[in-house]
Amino acid sequence: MFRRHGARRLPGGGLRLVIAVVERDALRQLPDQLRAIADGEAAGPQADAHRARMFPAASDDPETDRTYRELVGSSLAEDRVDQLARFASSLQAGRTTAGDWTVDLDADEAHAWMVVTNDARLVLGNLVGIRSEADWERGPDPADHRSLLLWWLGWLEEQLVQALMGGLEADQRST
Amino acid sequence: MTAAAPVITPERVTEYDVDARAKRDRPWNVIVWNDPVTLMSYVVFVLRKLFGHDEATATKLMLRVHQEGRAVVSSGPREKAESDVHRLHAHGLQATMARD
Repeated sequence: MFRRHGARRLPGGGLRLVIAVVERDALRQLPDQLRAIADGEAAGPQADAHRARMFPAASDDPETDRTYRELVGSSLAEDRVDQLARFASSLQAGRTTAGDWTVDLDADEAHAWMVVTNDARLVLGNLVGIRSEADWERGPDPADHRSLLLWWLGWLEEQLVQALMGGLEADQRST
Repeated sequence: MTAAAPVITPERVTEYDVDARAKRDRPWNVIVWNDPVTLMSYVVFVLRKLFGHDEATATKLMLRVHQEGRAVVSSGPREKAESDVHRLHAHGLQATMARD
């Protein structure tokens, strides 16, 4: 990992992200896979388990949960599909130099990146079997691309969060 | 239409259900649950963004989630709890609501 890789805040709530071209290419598989989970197209127990992570119950009480789900309807899934589309289109933007990919994301795109990265980690955590914090101690399995992606997305999400956190601090200072 | 014999209806007895009323008035708590995959920094970020907490307050709440498995992050009428759970779910956090 080169030090020039990472995210830094831009004026206006956006950020500049620099990652390797091969890392950008690895992200291209995410939108289709996550969209199929979010919009219900993917079927079966595994897809249901992923959906339970992305759209958790609002209460232990089934009646409270049912009322909540009626209220929010499909808005959460639709929001996720919108974020995935925004994420996918920004993957087509940017410029490549010497094996690196640089992209400037506006505030909405940066938010989409954070939500997509977080969802991808929830799904990959299910697939790789992260059930407790102790499961992180074993480190990524180099033979399993899902495991490698999960660990790398942890770095990426931390970069996005820290850059956007700087934006929050600037907002709070100015209000 | 014929004049019918007066119908005598028993007076409806309204029981003043103190327990039900007290239950109805109790606020709803919004709870964020610990999750082994979600980044601690992300939880801090979302709590700051959604509830306007400063870094110290959001970090304290996040640590309570991390150490105790859960923390109440907001409290109020049902509609507010539903809205807060919705916003937390939109950010991918494991959040539920329950009456205090």
